[in-house]
Amino acid sequence: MTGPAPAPAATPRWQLASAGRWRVASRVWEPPTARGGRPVVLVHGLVVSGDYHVPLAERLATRRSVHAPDLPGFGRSADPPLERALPTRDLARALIDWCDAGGLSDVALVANSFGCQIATEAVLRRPDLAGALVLLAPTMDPRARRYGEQLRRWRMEMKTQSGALQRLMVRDYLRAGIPRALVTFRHAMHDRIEQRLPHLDLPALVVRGTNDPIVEDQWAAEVADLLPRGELRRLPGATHAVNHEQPLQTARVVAAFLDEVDATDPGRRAAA
Amino acid sequence: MRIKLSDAVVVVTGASSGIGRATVESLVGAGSTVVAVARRDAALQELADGFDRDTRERIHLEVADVTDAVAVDRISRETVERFGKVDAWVNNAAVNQYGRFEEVPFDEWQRVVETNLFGYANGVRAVLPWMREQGYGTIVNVGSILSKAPAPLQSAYVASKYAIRGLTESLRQEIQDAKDIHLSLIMPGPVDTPLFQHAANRTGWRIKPPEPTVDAARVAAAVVKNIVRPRREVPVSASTRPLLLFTRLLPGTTERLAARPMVASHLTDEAQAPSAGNLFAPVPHGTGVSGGWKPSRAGRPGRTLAVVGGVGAAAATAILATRRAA
Repeated sequence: MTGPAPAPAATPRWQLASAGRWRVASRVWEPPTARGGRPVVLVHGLVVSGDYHVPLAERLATRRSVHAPDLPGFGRSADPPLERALPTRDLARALIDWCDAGGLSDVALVANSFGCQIATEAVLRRPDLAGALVLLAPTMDPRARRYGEQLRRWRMEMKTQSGALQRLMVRDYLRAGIPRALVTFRHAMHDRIEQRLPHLDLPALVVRGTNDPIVEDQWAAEVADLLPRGELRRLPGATHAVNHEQPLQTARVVAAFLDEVDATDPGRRAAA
Repeated sequence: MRIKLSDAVVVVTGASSGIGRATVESLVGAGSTVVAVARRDAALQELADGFDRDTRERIHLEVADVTDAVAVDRISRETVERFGKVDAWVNNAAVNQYGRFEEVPFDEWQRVVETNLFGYANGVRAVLPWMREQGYGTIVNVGSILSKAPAPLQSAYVASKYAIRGLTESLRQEIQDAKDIHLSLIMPGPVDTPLFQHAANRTGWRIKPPEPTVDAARVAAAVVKNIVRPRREVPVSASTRPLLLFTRLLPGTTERLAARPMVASHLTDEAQAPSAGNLFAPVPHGTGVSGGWKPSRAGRPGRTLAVVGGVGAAAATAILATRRAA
């Protein structure tokens, strides 16, 4: 019998590191036994912080170390002045700087929603940053790049959210500030993720929950097609913030993908 | 924890024909994602090709023999790795052998038990750890009325179906600690499926199902409903209940009296050369839901109702008469 993975790992440590001009707070989970798999870096979406990655992180951390940074301006990384919202490329820059500061390279980047736009930008700028890319419910569908349509989809998504996620989001929106949230959203709207995807030549997994009103199936399939080495997984019954709402379901699929990548491509780390 | 069919991931074994195939069709129609397991690649392809392109995305085919524990384990693990969960597992793959116990080749007899019983055990072993981890799930074992009532000329089948009930009931006791993991036994009577053409036959005569048969779709509906609302035991078709009742009330008498009619209802007067059927290798014929045993009396339960009603009336009269006499 080949059963499931062992129980969740220990509690995380908080770390504070500088990423360029900003100080970035992050949680780190170390697995009970190091198995040499690529470390996972979880990239959060809009406007939530690394907090909503905790359920997924706990389940991935049974077999590999997991980092969940709060990008500058969000969560506990409140450095940039409140009226200042970093554009997508600066958030990506901060992610790269933060990885560099922590000595992280050839990581497994796992991003949700708007975090996918940041993660893809970071990999485009620094191809050796990541050895595997996981896009959970990637935004932003070019067909829906209108405020009215986004508002409509977001309101539908609200109905799929659990109370725990909603509470977490309210707190995170207040910490980041509503103006920053709105400006960041505008940056996200103008970002063209579809132009970057064809240039990201690394093993990539696109995950879409079948009950996700924000990311339509057609767009998720396009993302997987645009990525040179992308594959799509549909998670029956899963929603938009899969990492928080369906953490076990997501972790099983993501861990299987990362194990496969680690096994077939031990990585530039080993080669270097 | 209530499973929603439109969000469910379900594994169905024996999906190439009969009840399994009907179950796949029903589940896919309800919006579920289905992993269809069978030995016959071509029959599975044919099943999947029956759906339009978008729906086809929700069917995943696995060519495997359920007696292969390693393969069944792999299917369970890959299902979880692909979809992140497994809501239900339908153990359904079964074969049959007709003939007197004293006359049939014993390797065939063993093969029937191996497929029907060990196949189910392999399924449960493969899926239960994942259901434990996720904290919920429904395992549906398709048994038979022959899980509770005996029949001559198919001792291997009956032995395996009784054993499946034993497995189901004792395992249910063992998983009492996991209150959202359910284990059910479906008990259909004679069903119109290709099982009878697929069976090994050592009787010398062509085999047919006893009438009236029910449509496999009706059994599939019971399986699907049971995934949403799990029950201990689900008898299907009107003819099963009287037989089960008599077997329980008068086991010795029923066993003795039912033997000859049971033989007569299974055999035709058409000679047929002995064969091992689909026991050791799948056969190309019989890939549909139905075995062509039409016209069945499904949907026209007049005679059954008359018999059941008559017996009931007789019993009531007898009870009343006894009371009056007392």
